[in-house]
Amino acid sequence: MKNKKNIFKRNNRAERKFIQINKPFALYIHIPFCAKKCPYCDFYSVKYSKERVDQFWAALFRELEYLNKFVKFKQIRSIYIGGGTPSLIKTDKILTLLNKISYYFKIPPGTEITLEANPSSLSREKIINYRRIGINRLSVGIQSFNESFLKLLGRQTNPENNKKVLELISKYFNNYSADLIFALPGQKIDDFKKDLDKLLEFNPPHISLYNLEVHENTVFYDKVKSGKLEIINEEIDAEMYEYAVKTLVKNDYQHYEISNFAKRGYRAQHNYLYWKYQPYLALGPGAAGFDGKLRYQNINDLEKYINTYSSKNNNKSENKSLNSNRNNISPCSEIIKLDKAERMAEYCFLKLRTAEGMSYFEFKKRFSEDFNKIYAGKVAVLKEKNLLIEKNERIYLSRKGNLLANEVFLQFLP
Amino acid sequence: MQTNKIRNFCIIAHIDHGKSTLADRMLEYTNTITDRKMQEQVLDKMDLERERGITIKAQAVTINYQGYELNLIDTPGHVDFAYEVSRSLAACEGALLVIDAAQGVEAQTMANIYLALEHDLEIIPIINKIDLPSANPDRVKEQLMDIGIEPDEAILASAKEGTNIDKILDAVIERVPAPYDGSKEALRALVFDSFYDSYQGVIAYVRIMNGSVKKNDKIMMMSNKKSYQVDEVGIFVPDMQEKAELGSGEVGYVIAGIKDVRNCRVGDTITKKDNPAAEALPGYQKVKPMVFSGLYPTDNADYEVLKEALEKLQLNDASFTYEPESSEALGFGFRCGFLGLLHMEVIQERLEREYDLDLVITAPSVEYKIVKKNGKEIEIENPALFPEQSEIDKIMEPFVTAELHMPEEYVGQAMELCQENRGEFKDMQYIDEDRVNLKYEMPLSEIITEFFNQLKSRTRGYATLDYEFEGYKESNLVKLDILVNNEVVDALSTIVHEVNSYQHGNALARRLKKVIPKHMFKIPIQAAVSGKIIARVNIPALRKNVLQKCYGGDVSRKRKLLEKQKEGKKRMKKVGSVEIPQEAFMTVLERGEDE
Repeated sequence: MKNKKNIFKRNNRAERKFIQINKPFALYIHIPFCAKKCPYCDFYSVKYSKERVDQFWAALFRELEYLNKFVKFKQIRSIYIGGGTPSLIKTDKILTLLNKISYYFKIPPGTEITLEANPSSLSREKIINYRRIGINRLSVGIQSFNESFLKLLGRQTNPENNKKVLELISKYFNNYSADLIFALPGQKIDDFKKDLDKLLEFNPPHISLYNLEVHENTVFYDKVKSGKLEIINEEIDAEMYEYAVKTLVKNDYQHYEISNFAKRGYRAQHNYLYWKYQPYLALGPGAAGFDGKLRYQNINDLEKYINTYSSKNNNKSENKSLNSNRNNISPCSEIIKLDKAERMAEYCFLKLRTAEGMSYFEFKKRFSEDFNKIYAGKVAVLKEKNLLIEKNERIYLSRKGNLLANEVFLQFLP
Repeated sequence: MQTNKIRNFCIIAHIDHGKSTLADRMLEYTNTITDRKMQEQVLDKMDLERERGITIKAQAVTINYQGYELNLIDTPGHVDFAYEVSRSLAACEGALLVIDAAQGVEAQTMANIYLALEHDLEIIPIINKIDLPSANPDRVKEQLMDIGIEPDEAILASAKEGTNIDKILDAVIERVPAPYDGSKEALRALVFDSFYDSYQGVIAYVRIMNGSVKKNDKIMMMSNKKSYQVDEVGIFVPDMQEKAELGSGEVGYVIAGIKDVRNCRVGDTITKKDNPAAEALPGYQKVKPMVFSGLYPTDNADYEVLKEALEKLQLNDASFTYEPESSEALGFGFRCGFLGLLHMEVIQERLEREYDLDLVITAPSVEYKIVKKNGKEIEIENPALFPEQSEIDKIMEPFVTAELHMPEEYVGQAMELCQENRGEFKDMQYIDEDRVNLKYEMPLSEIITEFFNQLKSRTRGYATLDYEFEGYKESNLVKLDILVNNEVVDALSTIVHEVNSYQHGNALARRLKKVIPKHMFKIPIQAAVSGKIIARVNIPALRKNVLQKCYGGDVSRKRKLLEKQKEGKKRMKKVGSVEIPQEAFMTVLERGEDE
């Protein structure tokens, strides 16, 4: 009797068995290594060391093997290798990972496989190798072409190297994305215009633009709190954003998501799945996955992650029942089972981020609920405030709504 | 007990000079309470009291020591409760005056000495905390000499370490006079505190001055002639212990089925119905609240909960008043009256803690007396209800005498602060070479703003403050209105001196700009006197509020962030189309350095 109780209790901790994936899914892999932590970044990462990478790789494989059990429909829609700094990892290692993935899951030809790259750890050879092993899209964190802002952001690169890297990438990849960060402390509107103009010289097929957000547990956060760093005025932030939208649209980019711009045919497929509320699996410490109803977050700790998936644990579990096998595996720091109201809220605020907006028909198809029955009053108010546009049974963010998206999203929360 | 074997005494001290610790040691030393039962500072019963290190309600305990019955009455330690203190002292013949050996004489020490002398108490000076490295008993002795107390009579002690507790107890027996023997006379019992118990009704703390009282006696309150039958009498040891009778000179409790503390107020005299005393004991006053503020539930649905909570609190606290009021901005709530700011804070904290209420509290106000042009006199404690300036003939406001005590080097700063707050200099005295006592006459309304905090910050915490109600005086006052988005927000109105109105209006508008979040439209904030705008600032429209990065790992986090923003909005009060956070209603009383 006593035993039974214990098993029950422990079973509750083997949370991820609840994940159910029964359609093609996106796959995100978090590579938690950086040469140096950027002072604004709050993604989980540790200092790169070859030894840790090897241990991590073994654990990653085991997590993949473990997650495979919960996936009924074994087909992948996109792969994104993010971080951290995935470009620190040797290409042959990346290849072993891709091979392992294809061992479990079908990767149809043409599937988008993106790797996040840092200009400081890229070379011609590496870029060519990426191409060779099947990576078909690179996302490169340029952030700025201004020496002093790159320094401020703690980037291990310089304007010249950023340009050189972009030239190389564009030579070998027709599909790639470049990130810029704006609204930096002390940045003038002209500084940002120069950054954007410089980037446009390379005519990248995809651009992501982010204002600097200061998150807790970052160096910047402490500096802002102690008054050593001053966050830029909201007015300038808005002005830069509006300038960028105007300029990029003029240059034939589609503004297809709040922060993302693409030439025709070059939208980020992987990211698009997030905004379309499609399922994704996530591997690695700190990574977050979603099966359509449930979200899980892996623990933000490489040591614990490696321990969870160490071969020792695994061997032991192979000798035991399936139950105890699961008991040993509990790398999640958080599991959220979303109720319907929460799912509807998330669906709305994610869909509204995109240029397609939210279709009443699709909403009904997904939730079997009449969108207007639930939200008509709120939509009317938001329309009145010129934040939303309603057209053809769809709602979209207006130009003003793009800048004040949170005010809109709030209204959809339960 | 024969009166010559009874000693009634209290302990008086400036805050933090070790009053409660000394009381604890005396109880321990005399085995009144065993170690096991000893909770630090037994006499301060409320959690809040223990946390704040002050006594809010008086407590009593009977100590049996060497054949004597020593009744210790612990007095409240804050100026808000000055009247309660005076009644506790009236129940005693002696006082232990505790002075911190390192801090020396402070403002409250002085106030306490005067009070004790007024009540003819035998003062036994105790120089406490002699264990501290910074202790300087000789200096304290010099100070005592300067203020007319025989320094050789002082007992050096460390309540913390239990040093010389026996000497203190012996001094109580030897030096405190035995109470007057009035056993043959008609009953007169002084109520020096009371509290409400849901099973037994009001429990009155009494000192029998004349006569005696026992179970089944028919008693009468002399202030309102209401009569009751005694259910039980007894003493505190420190728990209640029933006794057959309380005799002349004794201290204990009376339970008589009294349902409301307001019928058994501190200072009242209990006598017998059949054989009443010719006159009541002197000094009874119905204490009146001095400070008023509006309490509103953040969620209007909590109105009933708040009402019930206030009813319950009042059962135990006759000096606290409340009546329903409504505000255009805040909805339905209550105008509550308090003895002072501390009393107000204590009540608020209890409401939030014990009843789990989320409250919007408007800035405290005093009670103004207004003579209208038509000759009518009205009393107003809610600035929002002030009549039109054109109808007012004159306005009077309460004034206090403030005593400030500090090292000489801070006198300049303290005087400056008093002057800024409409203080009128009265007197300055040196306690010793470097300690100064300042006396100012000031409007109470100035003291209940940030005065105390400012005093502490400008004197690096060295100054202490004590004040006493003086009376009403005419002042040139005006009502300062605040308009948010062109609408007057009644709950933000304040009464200020005309000379300062521009300065206050300007500063208040700027502070509100800081606490009211940006909206999707521009919000003008204006300050107005008699309909004339005297200051204006704008809160610019919100331009950008968007979480730009939102990928797979961000969704949960972003949803939580949005939920937090939504929760924050819920806790605001919507006035017109503007959401005003709770703290805005309290910023009214802040005085920033920018003023």
